[in-house]
Amino acid sequence: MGSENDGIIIRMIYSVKNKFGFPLALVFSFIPAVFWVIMMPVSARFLSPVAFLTSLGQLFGLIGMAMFCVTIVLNTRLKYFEDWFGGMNRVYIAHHMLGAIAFVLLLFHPLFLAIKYVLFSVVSAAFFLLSSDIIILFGTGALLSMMLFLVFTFFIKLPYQWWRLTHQLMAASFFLACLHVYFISSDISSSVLLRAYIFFLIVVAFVAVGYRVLFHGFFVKRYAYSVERVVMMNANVFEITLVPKDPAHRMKYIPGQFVFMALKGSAVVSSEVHPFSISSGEDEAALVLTIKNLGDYTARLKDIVPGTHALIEGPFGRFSYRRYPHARQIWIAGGIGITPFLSMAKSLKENDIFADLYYSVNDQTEAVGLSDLMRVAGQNKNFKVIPFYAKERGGFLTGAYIAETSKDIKNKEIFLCGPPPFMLAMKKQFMALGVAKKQIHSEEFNLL
Amino acid sequence: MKKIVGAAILIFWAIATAIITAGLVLYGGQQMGYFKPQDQRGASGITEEQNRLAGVTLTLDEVAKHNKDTDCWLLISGKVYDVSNYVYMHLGDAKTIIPTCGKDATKDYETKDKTIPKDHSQQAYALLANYYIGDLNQAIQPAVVPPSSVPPAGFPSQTQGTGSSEQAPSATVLLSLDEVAGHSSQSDCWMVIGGKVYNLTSYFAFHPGGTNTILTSCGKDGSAAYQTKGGGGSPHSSYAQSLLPTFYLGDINQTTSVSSVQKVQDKVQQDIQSGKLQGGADDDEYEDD
Repeated sequence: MGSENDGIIIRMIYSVKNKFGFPLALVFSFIPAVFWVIMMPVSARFLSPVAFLTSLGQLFGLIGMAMFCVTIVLNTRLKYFEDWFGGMNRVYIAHHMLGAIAFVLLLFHPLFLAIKYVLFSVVSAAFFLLSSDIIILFGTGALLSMMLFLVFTFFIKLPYQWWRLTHQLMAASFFLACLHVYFISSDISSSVLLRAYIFFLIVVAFVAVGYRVLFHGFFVKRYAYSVERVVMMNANVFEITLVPKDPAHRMKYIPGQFVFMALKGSAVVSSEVHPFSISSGEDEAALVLTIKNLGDYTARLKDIVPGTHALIEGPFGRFSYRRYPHARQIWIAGGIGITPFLSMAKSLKENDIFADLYYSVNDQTEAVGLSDLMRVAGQNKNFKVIPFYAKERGGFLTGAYIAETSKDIKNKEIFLCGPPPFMLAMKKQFMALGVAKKQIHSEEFNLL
Repeated sequence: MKKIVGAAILIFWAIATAIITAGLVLYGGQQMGYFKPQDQRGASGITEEQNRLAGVTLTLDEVAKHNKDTDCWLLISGKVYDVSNYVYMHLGDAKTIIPTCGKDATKDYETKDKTIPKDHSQQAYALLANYYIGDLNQAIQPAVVPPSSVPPAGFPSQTQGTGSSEQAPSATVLLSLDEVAGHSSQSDCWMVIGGKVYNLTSYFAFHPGGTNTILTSCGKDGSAAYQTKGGGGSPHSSYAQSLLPTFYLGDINQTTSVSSVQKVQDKVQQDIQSGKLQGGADDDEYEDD
């Protein structure tokens, strides 16, 4: 009983701490603004149009640069961040958002300064933007290269490995930006504290780039597995079973987590890294990944041959029934979103929790893994599976239907995994039915 | 997020392209002589007017002739000021000045704000000095055209005229190191660079390298600092070199007229008047006006 209570306390701490990651990342990004404010009275900063524009330009540059550093650090995929953000997928969402904000801030940094010059001469403003001063050129180069690389992230869909290259090249933009920051002299460069802080962030960001991009093969711990077999589950979904090369070095994971996998030496696919949810139970010796054909890489992945060498990094993710206090739960899967629930169901112990699994698919042929789930349900009276075939029912699964069939939803922990619009619709419906937001857990996975 | 980033990129290119295109077209026009360079217009401000009226005695009758917004002389504490260029820049609105044009405005000047009468600020007094043309019942002295070449288009200059213009226009000043050393603050900064004396006061807010890097060399020979961007750095760009003549006062140990020094200030007033210069980071001259 004592250990059970301890477990609950630890779960509660997780759920509180994981709210702080994003605000903390913002704090690190905005600390330069605090130095900037205490260096000179704010009223003096905004005394005249020129001072106002100079101030905005400086501020945007400083915060943008700090945020750029934080964005890079979030890319290290350190497990430590998971506790703060509530899962690696959320860390990446933060990386994505902060990166975009930093970019916008940095874009406006020279604009404000240029507009300042316009106030008295358009010619001088043009000369400022086209400055041949090497230190300003560092900044211009950083900004233009960043813009080029981010166009591929936001607007032009490149094949994954090319996109990844353009994204990694942003480290070069960052390097140019650092030269600009280091050598440019301004009001700001006179503050030792501010310089020290920015220098600290830059060093940390460089360490992060070295760890994740340049020497990841050396630093990042990866498990060696090999492909045992690939089984087609239906026309679009297949299952890859992987076995550890050395049974003593098997990756331990909590059901519901995901991994990053890179296949080496395959003639079918390149060695790029992709994330996949684990669908095997935690006690199984093999690692099973259930994958839907959604793109170029996954289309070819089903043709890999047994024996292919796989490097597994992980496990990641905080989406698991183990982490939340309520023993009565509702699991809701939309299509391929079933994968974490497959792992969770297979790992269920008797008298572990009470769970109703709603599995929403178009028809029975799409209900991958249903037989496994039914088998678990047959052995465990606390676990129920409710398949929902949208075609037969003539409509989508709704919160109202779940509330009616599962009962007492306000006192249950709700887990959602599926296509983003599906999860959003479900979340809205449950909140409209009076379920507290903190009881709804969803696996938003969008690495890009 | 995608939309915000897209919009930001669009705004960036719209503004950058507009500024660069307009700037280069204007610059090209100036080079070809299509447009009159701004600083020549600036140089022909009050001094030109002063030369035209040289010899005219500043009687009350004479002052009274300049009684409208476009031609407005004020008599304040026995001194005559031509504020025609300033009327519409007045922070306390032009309509508070216009009724006093051509009259003795001493009392009005000292009691701005009808509700709680209050004197104008120090900065306002300093600014006023820039419009000084002579004492009452004194003949207007012709302004001396300075020997320095006409500076190229670039940053206009601006000073906080700390009363030097209160001297007679024909007064001279020796640009010695001692004299330069007397101008060592942010609100009054002279510097020697390569044997030439420059008044950099107005440039502070616009220095890409920040104010502090300039401030340390105010009142001194800053040649070395200029060549190394405050020590350890690279030399200034040719564009920076082209800006310097704007602030040129004269060579070191050369005697120059006060009015030549004044010219730099006049030009700034002209720029203020033409709306090009709206103030600097350290500039609060017409804040309390």
